[in-house]
Amino acid sequence: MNIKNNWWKYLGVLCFIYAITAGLLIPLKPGIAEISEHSLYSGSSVDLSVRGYNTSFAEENYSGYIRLSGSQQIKASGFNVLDNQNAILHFELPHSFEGQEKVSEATLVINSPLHGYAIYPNLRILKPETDIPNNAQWENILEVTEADWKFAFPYRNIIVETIRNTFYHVAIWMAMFVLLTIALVYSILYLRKGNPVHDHVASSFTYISLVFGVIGVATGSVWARFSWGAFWTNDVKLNMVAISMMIYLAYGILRASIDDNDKKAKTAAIYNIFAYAAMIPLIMIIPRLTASLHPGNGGNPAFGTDDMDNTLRMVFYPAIIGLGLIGGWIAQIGIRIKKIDEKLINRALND
Amino acid sequence: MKKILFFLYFSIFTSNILSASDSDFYRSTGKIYGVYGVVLILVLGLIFYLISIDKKLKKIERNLDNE
Amino acid sequence: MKNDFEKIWALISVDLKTEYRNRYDSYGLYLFVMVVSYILYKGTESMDAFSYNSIFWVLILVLSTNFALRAFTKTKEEESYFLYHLVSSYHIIFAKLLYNWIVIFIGGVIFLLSSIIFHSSLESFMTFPIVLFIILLLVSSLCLSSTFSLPSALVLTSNNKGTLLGILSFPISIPITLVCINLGGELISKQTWNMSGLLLLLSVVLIMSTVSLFLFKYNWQS
Repeated sequence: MNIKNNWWKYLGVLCFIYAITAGLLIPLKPGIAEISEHSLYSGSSVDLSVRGYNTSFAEENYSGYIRLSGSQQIKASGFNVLDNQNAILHFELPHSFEGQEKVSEATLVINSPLHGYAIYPNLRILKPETDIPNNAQWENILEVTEADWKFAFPYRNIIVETIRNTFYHVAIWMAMFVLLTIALVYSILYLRKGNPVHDHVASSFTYISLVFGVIGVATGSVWARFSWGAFWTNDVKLNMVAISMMIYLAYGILRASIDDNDKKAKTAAIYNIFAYAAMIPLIMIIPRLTASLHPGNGGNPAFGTDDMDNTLRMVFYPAIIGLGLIGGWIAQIGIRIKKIDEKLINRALND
Repeated sequence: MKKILFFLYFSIFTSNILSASDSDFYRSTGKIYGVYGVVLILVLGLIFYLISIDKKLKKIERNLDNE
Repeated sequence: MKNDFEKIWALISVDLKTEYRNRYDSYGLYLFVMVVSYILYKGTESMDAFSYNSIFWVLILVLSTNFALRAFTKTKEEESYFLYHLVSSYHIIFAKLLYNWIVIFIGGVIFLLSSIIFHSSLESFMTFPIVLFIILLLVSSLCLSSTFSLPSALVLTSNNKGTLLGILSFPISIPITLVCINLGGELISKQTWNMSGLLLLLSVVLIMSTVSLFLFKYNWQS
């Protein structure tokens, strides 16, 4: 192949290989996998046994904190290391915290100068019936010195290793949207100019994005099994996406059921624009109105700063580019096949 | 040349995971199999679509032979 | 502008007149609605308002596919050729949309009235806010007519119209029907509006009708 004209194919394949190898092989950052207690009483002294993921308690100088949702924290007075993954943290909790509520949300933080910090959210601190006064005091949070940057993905509870699916499941949706938008543009072009090549482009791109969409639903179902516990959930986004895939399956059936080529192209182009317009409320508006398991729904913007970090982005964006370019390549092969087919038919008609 | 580059590329990443301590963690939670499944579906899906395109091309080739 | 309204009104009135002339056709559909409500009355001893609500919206969905398909198949070929030279495509699709809206709405009202008559012994049917429910019916029938009008025009060129219309428009109408069932259920249980759901329906109307208006031009030429 000529490199000058086909550089984007090489780029796509390189990005895809990079996304698969880097996405599978780069380790996760240290995290806290399990702690022994989730509800603590203020004023008491507790021993929290902590099980770490990818931590090295024995080799480094870790320190532990319990952080309130405000800007206050208390440092563990004891950090007894059992082995690299297990440690027992001793806390003397102060007898009160700010606010009138009986319960305060808190986060357990462990910090090492070399590997950075790991957090465990969903900790609760309860006010006991009777106050037990003691000397401990909440302290204000000091600036944490950032650890050396390491090429590792962030650790998140529940999803843990499946965070790597961002590069495959989420990226294939993004690539599908790009391909569908290209198909939309060519459908509009066909309606305005009537050039049959534009119809080939639009239909090829729609078919490959339909394949991407089906892959997206299937991969999402596998991911759901591993993080939410079931292959199919009642989640809005999942069901809306399934419906929009049905819309594009209908596109294929529409094309197959009309015999006349000219009429087929025109009807398919009209329906393609119509389907794209119908998909916007399905995927963009409805999931945002209702609570969803997916991140970025229920009013939040998709992919806030909490969901993505720089190491994820370094693989995520190449994955989108790679899948998009490979999709474009496959669509281009489809277009070329259709061109040849049309030429053959014309030649047969002329003979 | 290309082969050497690919070999280097793979060896860098594999050495990273093997030397970065216990690869035990990688499979310790069992969740990594979810990722394997997802990648498998992705690749298989693309391959199936390529096979269907191949079939279409074969049909055209047959037409060409008949002429 | 005034001219536009006149043309659209003329088209709708022509449609309504032909509807009146072949009224036994649409009577059949309306009779079907009443029969369904009677079957529900005789077949189920005590049905709660929520399941009745879902059946209501599914029936509206079936009605709207039937009406939408009829709206275009009724026009004969010579007649459409005649129309092509008189008015623009915008007028035609707009008139069809409004016409569909009216007939779907009438079907819904008939079902509502007959079920109120048959089930008047049930308490839950007496307490729900009927005016709000009719407004919801008004909005949702506009929504359904705007989503069905363009696909029903598209399938005219194909071989089997009924099946293809189902395939083309059901994926779009499923979420609309689901939203309607939710809104209706909320009306029955809480007796209040869910504004965001209503706005969603209105936004679907806006998107679908603008897309239909612009795209119908290309379909009409052929």
